[in-house]
Amino acid sequence: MKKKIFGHLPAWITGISLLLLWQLIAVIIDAAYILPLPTQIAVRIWELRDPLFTVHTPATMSVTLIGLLISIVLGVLLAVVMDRYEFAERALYPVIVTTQTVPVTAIAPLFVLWLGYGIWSKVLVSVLITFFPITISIHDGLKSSKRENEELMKTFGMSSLAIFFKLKLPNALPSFFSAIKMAIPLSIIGAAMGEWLGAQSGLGYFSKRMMTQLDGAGVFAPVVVLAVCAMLVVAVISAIERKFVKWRKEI
Amino acid sequence: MSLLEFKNVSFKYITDDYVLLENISFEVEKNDFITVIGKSGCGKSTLLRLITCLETDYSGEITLCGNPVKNTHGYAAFMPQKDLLLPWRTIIKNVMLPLEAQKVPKSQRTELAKDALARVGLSGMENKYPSELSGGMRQRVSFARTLLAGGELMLLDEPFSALDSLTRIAMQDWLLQQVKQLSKTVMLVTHDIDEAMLLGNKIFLLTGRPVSEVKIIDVSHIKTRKDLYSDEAAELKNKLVSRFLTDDSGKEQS
Repeated sequence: MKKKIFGHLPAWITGISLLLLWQLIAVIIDAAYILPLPTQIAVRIWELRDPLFTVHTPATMSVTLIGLLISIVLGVLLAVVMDRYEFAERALYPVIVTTQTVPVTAIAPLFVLWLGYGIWSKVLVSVLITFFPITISIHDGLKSSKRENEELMKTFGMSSLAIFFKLKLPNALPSFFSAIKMAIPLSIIGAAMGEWLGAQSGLGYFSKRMMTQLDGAGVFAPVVVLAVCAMLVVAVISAIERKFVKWRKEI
Repeated sequence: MSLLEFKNVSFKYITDDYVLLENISFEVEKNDFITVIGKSGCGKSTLLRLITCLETDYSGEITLCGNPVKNTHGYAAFMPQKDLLLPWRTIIKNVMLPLEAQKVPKSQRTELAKDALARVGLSGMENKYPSELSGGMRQRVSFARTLLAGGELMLLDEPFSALDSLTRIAMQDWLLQQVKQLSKTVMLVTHDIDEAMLLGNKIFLLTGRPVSEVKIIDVSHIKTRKDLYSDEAAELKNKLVSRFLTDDSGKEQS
């Protein structure tokens, strides 16, 4: 435990130094609507705790988690299909890559037009941003199992379905967790972006509202909450990962 | 009837533009210990791939006890060069892998796997992970797994080439003992002439490019490491080495 705390010490030092630097610059500039002090932001989070934590955080997090869930299901499905059927890989892979050249930010207002101010326009943005890294990582994970291992299992007389479950799937598990950890912040960004464009609740929406009131600290408050949420969810996934994947160091 | 027979087998990888094996024939008798040597890239490992049906696109016929082997898996136990243990499975779970393929009931698997591990001298290691074992131990786990893969025929593809030389010597002696107790038929591919003479009772020397002939050399008189230093053995070794060298010069001229 002691070692763990000490191991994080450099990161703490860097973080706190940066905050102090920020505080210093903000004091010099002295214009809270442009650059609020970190302490002002902390105070603002406390003052706004009620709307922040009871209305807007749950709204954004539900969008994030629904989006993530859809992305994971879709990503796993696509990755597995592409791995099993070469035809599917040739038909889908280029299309999936191409979807990433579409600037989601630019077309997101359309989603609001299509799906309204409710939750689903944000979920769509979140899914569009996250499903790509998830699909590609898992697909690579499935592909990365060694051909030699596959052949050895074949000589044992194993069916290709059994090889999939006993070799490919466990082999892709680390990639799967990496993909999810990578996708969580993206998903939150997607949700917040969707809310920024048009919503009735959510941290992105809240931040925008504070902007119109020239409340600098109020703009930053939900951003800080978003960041903390992302870190918490990533920490939870990491804990689950440690339980399932104890052998990652080896590859 | 011989256990394994190659009849006029020719083979070429689709991706290659040259023929690898041309019209080769040989027989393996029950309880033979065959060591296969030949220059690197000449198709030694391919021979095992053909027997295990990992490559099926050959002409000619390969039969096991008179039955063609094409497209059947699981009758010959194959041990690859690398141990290929799955890092997320414990030792015993790794050893069980072939049993799972054979659909052996769960209740019997543990017992069989434990027996196999005991045979290779790794009792007590059941619940360790492969990363906790040394190279020699991992190779023995791989051998235990091969034992459970079933079939009378064991195909070993340079099983010791990745080990350091001291471990290799220990493993060679160990393998000799094992095979004696097991009364299995073995084909072992190697690039080490000493290993080939010591372990095998016959050497299959693959010659020509493409390989068109399997020369069979009887080495059953070399039984212990000491025999390797007899005049007779030294002479044979010389002959084999010079064979490889002349084969090489022949290739350069062509």
